[in-house]
Amino acid sequence: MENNKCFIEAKDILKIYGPTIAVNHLDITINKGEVLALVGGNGAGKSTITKILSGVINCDSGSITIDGEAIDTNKYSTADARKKGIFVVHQELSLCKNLTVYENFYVEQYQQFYKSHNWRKTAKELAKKALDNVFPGNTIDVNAGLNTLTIAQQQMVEIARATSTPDLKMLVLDEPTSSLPTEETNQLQEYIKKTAANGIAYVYISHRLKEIMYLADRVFIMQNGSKKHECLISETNEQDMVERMGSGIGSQNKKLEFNTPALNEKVSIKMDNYSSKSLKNISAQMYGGEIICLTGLEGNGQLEFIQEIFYKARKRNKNGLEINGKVAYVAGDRKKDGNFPLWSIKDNTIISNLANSLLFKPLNTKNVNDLVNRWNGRLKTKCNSTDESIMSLSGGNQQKVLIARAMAVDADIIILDDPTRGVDVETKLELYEVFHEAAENGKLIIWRTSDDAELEYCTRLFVMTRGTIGAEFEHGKYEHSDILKVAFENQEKKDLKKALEKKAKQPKLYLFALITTIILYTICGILSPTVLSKRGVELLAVGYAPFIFCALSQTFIIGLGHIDLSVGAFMGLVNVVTATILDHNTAFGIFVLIVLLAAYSLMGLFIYWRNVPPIIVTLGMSFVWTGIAYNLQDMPGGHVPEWMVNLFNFKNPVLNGILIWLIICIIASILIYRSKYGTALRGYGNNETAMKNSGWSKAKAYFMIYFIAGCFAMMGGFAQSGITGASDVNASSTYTMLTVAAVIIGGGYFSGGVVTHFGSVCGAISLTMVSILLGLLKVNTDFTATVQGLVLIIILSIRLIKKGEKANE
Amino acid sequence: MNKALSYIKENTWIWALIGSTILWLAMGISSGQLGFSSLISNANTAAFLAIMAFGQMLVVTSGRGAIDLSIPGVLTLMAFISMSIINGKNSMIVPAFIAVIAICAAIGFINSLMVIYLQIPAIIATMAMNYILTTAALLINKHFSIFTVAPVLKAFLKGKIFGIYFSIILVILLGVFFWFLLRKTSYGKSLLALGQNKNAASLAGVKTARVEMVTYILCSVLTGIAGILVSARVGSAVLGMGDTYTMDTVASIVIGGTLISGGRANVPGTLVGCLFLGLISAAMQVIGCSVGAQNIAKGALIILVLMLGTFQKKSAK
Repeated sequence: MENNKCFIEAKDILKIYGPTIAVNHLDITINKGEVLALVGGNGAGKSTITKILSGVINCDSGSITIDGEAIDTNKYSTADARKKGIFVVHQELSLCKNLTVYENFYVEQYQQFYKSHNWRKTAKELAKKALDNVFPGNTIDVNAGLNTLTIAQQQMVEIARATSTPDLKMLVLDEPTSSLPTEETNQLQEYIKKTAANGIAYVYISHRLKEIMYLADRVFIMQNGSKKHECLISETNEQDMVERMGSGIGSQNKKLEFNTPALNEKVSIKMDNYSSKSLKNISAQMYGGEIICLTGLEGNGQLEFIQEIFYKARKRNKNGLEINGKVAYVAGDRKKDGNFPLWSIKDNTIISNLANSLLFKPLNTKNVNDLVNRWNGRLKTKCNSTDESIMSLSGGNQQKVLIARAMAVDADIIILDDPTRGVDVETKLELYEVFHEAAENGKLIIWRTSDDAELEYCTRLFVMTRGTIGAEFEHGKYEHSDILKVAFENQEKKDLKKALEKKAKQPKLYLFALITTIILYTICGILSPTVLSKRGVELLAVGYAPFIFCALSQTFIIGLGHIDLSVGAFMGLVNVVTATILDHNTAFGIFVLIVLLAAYSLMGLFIYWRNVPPIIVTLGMSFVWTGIAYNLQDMPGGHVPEWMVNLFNFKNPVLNGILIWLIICIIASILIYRSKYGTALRGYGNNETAMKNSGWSKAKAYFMIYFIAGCFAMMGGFAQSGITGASDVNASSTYTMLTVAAVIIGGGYFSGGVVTHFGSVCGAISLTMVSILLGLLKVNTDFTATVQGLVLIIILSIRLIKKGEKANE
Repeated sequence: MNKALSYIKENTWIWALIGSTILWLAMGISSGQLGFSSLISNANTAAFLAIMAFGQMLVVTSGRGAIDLSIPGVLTLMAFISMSIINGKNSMIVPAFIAVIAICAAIGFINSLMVIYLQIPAIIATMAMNYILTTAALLINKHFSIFTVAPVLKAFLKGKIFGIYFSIILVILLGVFFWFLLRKTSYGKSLLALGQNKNAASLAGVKTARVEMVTYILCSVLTGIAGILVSARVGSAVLGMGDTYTMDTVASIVIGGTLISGGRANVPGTLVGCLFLGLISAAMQVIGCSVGAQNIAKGALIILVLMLGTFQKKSAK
């Protein structure tokens, strides 16, 4: 009976990152129908253990049993976890921002849609139902684009999406309420209680102890990767939990010998009721000789505090922040903010010195070597030579190099951004000594730390809460629980009233391009009424068509975050093939065209397989396409078969052939992107990891994108042939870059999968309209290119201004 | 031995150098005249490409997918402007150089403003600039009929020391200069840092905006100087004379081992890359290959070199 109750049992789990033991021989069990609260300070290992249980990372040793079945811990993946009914709502959201709410439901829950005929309807119903289930009365529109939702609403979508899994057995919620307003938090808690009663297990990670007291059945307190305490909720209270989390940290180091260095008043930072975007009413004075720690729960303004100081120090207008002294910054996230991976230890050490000297002053090699050797020697960086790559070092030694960088530049104020993260204990102690020595030399050290044990090494500490200094303590004049109390107590009061307010309505991406097109068209119409007639539109279409087909093709590629430099050349080649091979031998011509399309699609697979930059692959292929075309036909000419000419010029009473094809292809491209698989392809353009985790094949996605793009480029080549009746290798070579411009004018971005076909078409039309307008204005056609260039710059500048407004909100 | 191997792995342009040697030998044997003269005349042609390739190398090294697409526009326009100013007179050469450098510096400056402050992606900003410059060239072309080259320029282009053209020596000197710039100056190191990781560079105190500005200005100025020399060599300025150079500069630096994603530049590689591209065309002309076949070979080689580069990365892991 007891065994049946247990859903997941992990024993003796060990996970080591370099020198850090993230999870230290931990035993944990989670029962069916139980809400287990996982609490602990920063870096206690809560996230790591949940990642292990959900298959995101594999543990180094230990055993996991799920539902009575032992798991191979080396091969356990997220896909396996999903099959077992284990889902996670991570702190960092795993949604595709370029899709709508219901499309996000689809890409993760696609197994539910195999048999559905109208997947959009089903997905909308599913999304609506899931959201209403968890958050009754929510105002989220399932048709809305995810990027139009607030962070709180996105969080709600992510939670609701996880709960919509039909065979959900266990759900891990990592800080689910950190951005939710009170009412929604209550709704979530009610939902959890209700479903837990039906047998679903919950792991609930939160810093909000009140919530835990209300919600949880059992509490599991972690510290330094180990279990600190485990008890039923009835056996504990908030006070008790805070004490248990805290005790043991301070006491080990209490006896530390600590001489407070003398103050150096020449170096100082003064803030008087200072506020910025994410800091509120901070008043503080800091002087040389001090080591000031910033602590508090993650995300309460510590990072913003130090970055504000660093960036403001370089600006003339400091907005009332007074900084006396040179500032250097030591990044803790070495990969993201610190290392230059292609460089040696020496170069990595000396860059700040160089950056501070005159741009074209030659280096003093001897001086450089002296500094590098002195500081890496002082810090005892373990390496055979400073010419070795920084990437050959362990994390702790990489960190030493970054600290040597700040020391070598001889800054007065040294900002440390959690520099001991992932560093072994011995190195940590060495670093503390270095920091202390620097303070003794009159430097001011501002130290953001996520390891509470380090607070013992500072002369003063600020506890940050909600973007301000919640409390300030002198060295040795506080108990650790005082800090935790300040850090935790204000969390529930976070002002989240605004969290659910609707964001200002954003214009559609293609709006600027559409407006530009309409304006240009209207002006042309006023100048020459024929433009407005059906005949006029048809004539225009003949001019536009190949370019628009090409733009549709490029849209798919840019939607994936790539750029295709070969599309114009490919179109030219198709054009040449139709006027040569196809004309001589239809069957063989068709065969060649199919081979070309296959070759084009394979570019996608090649990029996936070799993981090479798409821009170079397509650049290389553009030479190849042009080369083949030249071999087939070195002078413009040839003869396009009658049937192909007729295909684009067939007589009918409604519209001319080319315009009909154009409309068909535009609609087709939009439909492809709206289809089931097209939705997944768009998702790939935004969040590859999320799509891969949901089980979509990356190779297939790359291949399909290039295949589809190839089809449209081919259509462009056909149109070229149909219109001109002959071929010219270079006729479409300018299209390559023009289509990139068209996609960007049409509201697209190079990354994030933000493109629209309609926008690209508008962009393409406005670029060509420019030449027609100039012709009508009797302006020399020579100016066409200039005006196109200016239109490009102006539209993108307007977009920047609009974006700036959005960011300020 | 191991050291040599690892050097080859890090410098993929060695393959291009070996390729160039083979091409040169093959050409010499097939034409029956094995000698340095064919190599030198090819190097002379490649020299003009190399001047621009250095500029492109700097822009690409600044990272985040930056490529300067305004090279053809700058080259063509500066060819027209310099021809117009010089008009066959020796005395006007210096003023022409001053004018070209000043105009190009302005062009590069505007490019960098668009990239840094308007946050327009570099390839779009420079493409827009290219359109504008192309128009300017078109306008000048209408009233343009100069086909005389200043004697000093002519002499410079034909002049040799120890059988080596002045232009080759100029390019080698430029190469030494850029090698020094990238390795031994604050600008060079800052540029390489910026290209690897803009965020880290900025936190390390690199003045990113200033470095980017200098980069775009250098690229335009170099292209402008190439414009003067190319027009003097051709004997006039022609519309579209710069069109092939964008792709050729990118191809040559990629063959030379410069990372397209930024942060690593290779000066000797760029030189070899330019020579190699030139030799391919020359060799294929000798054996009677069409323009088409030359293109195919060029494209295939770019992809091949790229693959060699990634093999090296995989084995490093």
